[in-house]
Amino acid sequence: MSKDIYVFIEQRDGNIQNVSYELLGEARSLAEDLGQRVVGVLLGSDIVEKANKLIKYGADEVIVVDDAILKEYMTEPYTKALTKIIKENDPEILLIGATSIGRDLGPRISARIRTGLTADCTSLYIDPETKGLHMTRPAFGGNLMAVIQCKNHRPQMATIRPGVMQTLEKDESRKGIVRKVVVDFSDIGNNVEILEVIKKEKKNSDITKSKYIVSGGRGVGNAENFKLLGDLASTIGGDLAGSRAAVDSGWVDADKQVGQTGKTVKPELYIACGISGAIQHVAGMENSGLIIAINKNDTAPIFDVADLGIVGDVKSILPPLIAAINKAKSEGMDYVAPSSDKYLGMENILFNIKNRIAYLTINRPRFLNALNRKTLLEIEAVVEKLEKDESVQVVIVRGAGGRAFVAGADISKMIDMNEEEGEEISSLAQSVFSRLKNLPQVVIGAINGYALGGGNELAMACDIRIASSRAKFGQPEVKLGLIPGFGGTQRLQRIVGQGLSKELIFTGEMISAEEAFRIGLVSRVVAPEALNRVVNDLAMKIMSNGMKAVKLAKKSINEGGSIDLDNGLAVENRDWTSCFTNEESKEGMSAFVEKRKPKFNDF
Amino acid sequence: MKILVCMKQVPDTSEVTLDPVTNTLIRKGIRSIINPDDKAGIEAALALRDKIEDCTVTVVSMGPQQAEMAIKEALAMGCDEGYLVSDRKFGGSDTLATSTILAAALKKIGYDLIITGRQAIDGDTAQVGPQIAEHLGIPHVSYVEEFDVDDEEDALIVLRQFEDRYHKMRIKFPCLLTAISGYGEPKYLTVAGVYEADKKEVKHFNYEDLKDLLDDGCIGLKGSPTKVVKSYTKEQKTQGTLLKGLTSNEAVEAIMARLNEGHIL
Repeated sequence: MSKDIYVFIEQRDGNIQNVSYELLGEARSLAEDLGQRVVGVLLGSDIVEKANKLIKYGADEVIVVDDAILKEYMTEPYTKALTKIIKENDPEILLIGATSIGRDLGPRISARIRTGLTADCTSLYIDPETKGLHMTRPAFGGNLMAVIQCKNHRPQMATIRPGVMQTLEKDESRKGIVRKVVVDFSDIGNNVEILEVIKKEKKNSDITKSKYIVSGGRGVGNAENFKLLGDLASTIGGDLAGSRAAVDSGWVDADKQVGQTGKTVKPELYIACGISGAIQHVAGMENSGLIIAINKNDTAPIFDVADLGIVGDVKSILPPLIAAINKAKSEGMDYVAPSSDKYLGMENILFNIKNRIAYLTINRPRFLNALNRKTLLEIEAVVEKLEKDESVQVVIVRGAGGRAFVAGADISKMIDMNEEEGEEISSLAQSVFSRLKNLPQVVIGAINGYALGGGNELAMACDIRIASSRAKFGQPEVKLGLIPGFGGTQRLQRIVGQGLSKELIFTGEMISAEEAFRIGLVSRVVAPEALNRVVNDLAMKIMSNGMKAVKLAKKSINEGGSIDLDNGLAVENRDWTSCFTNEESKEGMSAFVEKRKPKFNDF
Repeated sequence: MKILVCMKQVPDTSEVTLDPVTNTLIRKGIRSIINPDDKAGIEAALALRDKIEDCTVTVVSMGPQQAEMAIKEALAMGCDEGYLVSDRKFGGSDTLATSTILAAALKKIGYDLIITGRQAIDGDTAQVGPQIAEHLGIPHVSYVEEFDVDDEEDALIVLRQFEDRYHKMRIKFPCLLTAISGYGEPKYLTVAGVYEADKKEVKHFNYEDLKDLLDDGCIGLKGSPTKVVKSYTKEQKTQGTLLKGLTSNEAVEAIMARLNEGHIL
């Protein structure tokens, strides 16, 4: 039977290409969904010592074919080696980077094995029912997305667009096997030979790897103004890029062109200056994290994809912006926006308030935001302030970094605990989570990645949970000989029922976001890049209503959750009655009768 | 020497727009063109023909009957003959099935050199060329930017482009190249060329003509390992915030607040 996810590891001059690490990260996530392993296939010459690094980035096994003939890519020797490995191991899935090498090799392999190949995919997903691979790819110049399956042939093969998948953080403690395979290349003739390898001139930095990009288009006006973009880029520690128009005008090098005919980039921040946003440009940057666009023309299509659009002149906005960022940096702290209150001095969480929404971010991305005592105490301190803060209406709880909401409690700190210390940490967490749950504000959990153990328990202490499609949920404590101790045995059954709750806790298995949605653990699943926006929009939607009523409803629901129906109805009756003592309900009902929008903000 | 060029008739995707209401592709009224990379392949083949004695260029296209128009255009560009491979049984083929059928047709016609475009602008897979070469058991070089016949006329010297390097290679006939568009100067149609083309007849291959070379399980929809299960136009991002009429300082404040909220600073 076919098994395991194989990743073709591409090397050039003995250097593993970035796309291969990205594919290992993606394969890891597919492997978890399938309960299978990730196997890297590394072909090259004098290459075997690079295999260990692949394990640190997610491979369980690396198969190495080390032969002088594989030093420089050639179609036939590579096809022969990879075909042999596929035939001997029967992989379930084979992923290849959609580089020019991958797109030369992939079709040759697929035709030799006679299996399907899907080109240039931008997203992969395992169907929870059939366990088949869904491969999504753009077609029609990026106007259409097609989802493709390969049901009856194995391996399911795909080439994957570079820069789209997430590389995992290097984990020095990961262990795996390195296996050398010998391939007989003696029958490869001299029908094809490389006479000369001509390297292209190395240009400075590669924008597909940039974390922050400042990009300019025709609207920047001239080379002088374009220098401002370079200044902004260096101020934020990012790179300069441009649209085709900017490249054609000679303001920026051709290898910095973003778009269909240039590079596809996915930085955390993309600042588009004077770029109108033609579909060809947007195709190369729309998956960026935060997109800020500045353009004079308020109908520029770039504003359709921007998270923040500013109608204005690049030339007059950039100099003060650069100054403001420099000032914030020199003060050695996060810039404090005038409208946001901030509690400083926290190590493991970030906290700020804006537009009556408080953002509580668990900020230990290197440890997948795992909860330790200090983090719990910091959450407690924030919750204590929120309990008294009437200016805040909604609290959004989220995890920093792209991978985890909260991946659990910090187990490394628990190994040496005695009974007393164990009791103390559970009591602390339970009390903090209960206080969070009972905050007067609406608490929304934005679950962006792993929500395991204490993370799932934290999520369940939120009023509403919205998950990214990358999120995973579980209570894996029994795998460590523990039981959930931060509320899991009690809260989970109240959300999904006893049977499911027991299954999840007894098996300790992880479930996908879709499954969490199906069983009612989360109320929505959205694309990863849309999560923050959806949660913000939800907060705004709630806040457009009478917030006194929302808070009373929350109180009523919370109290009802732990008492019987008759007593619950009595609670509802009490809170309903109290609505009539405030002005908010008068305004709401009058507005309804007068067919106008209510003005709730005054109350 | 016999050069075969594979070409595809495609909708001009640069003209494709989305219906703002239904958010679906508007296909109506979009003109059909020869796929640009394939056109480059034809140009390259014609340029090579001029250098070699007794050399002919044949275009081969698989598609519906209307693709005959594209073949006529190729003939008007100066190609010597054209074949249309068309049959209901071929409908719904994915890249593997398509390459299987084309390989059978090419084998029937006979070749020394096969040229395909790198990729078609409607599907963008870049898979059919290398797959044809595999079915025919001949070597291929993809992403070819320049090529010329070598002194002994038994091989080509090609320059192929990868992201970070070029490979200068020697490849013996018979072989297949996939060409990048932008090869050479475009050859414009001449009145004489169009007139000549009109006299040439497009030849046809259907299932019956190729069946001795085909396994029924490997063609058409049912011979295709991959299936499109769903297609959709890209999800429009939910509306961001658009701020107008701000002073520069207000604009800076708005940007800083957003950077701060995103924990970028």
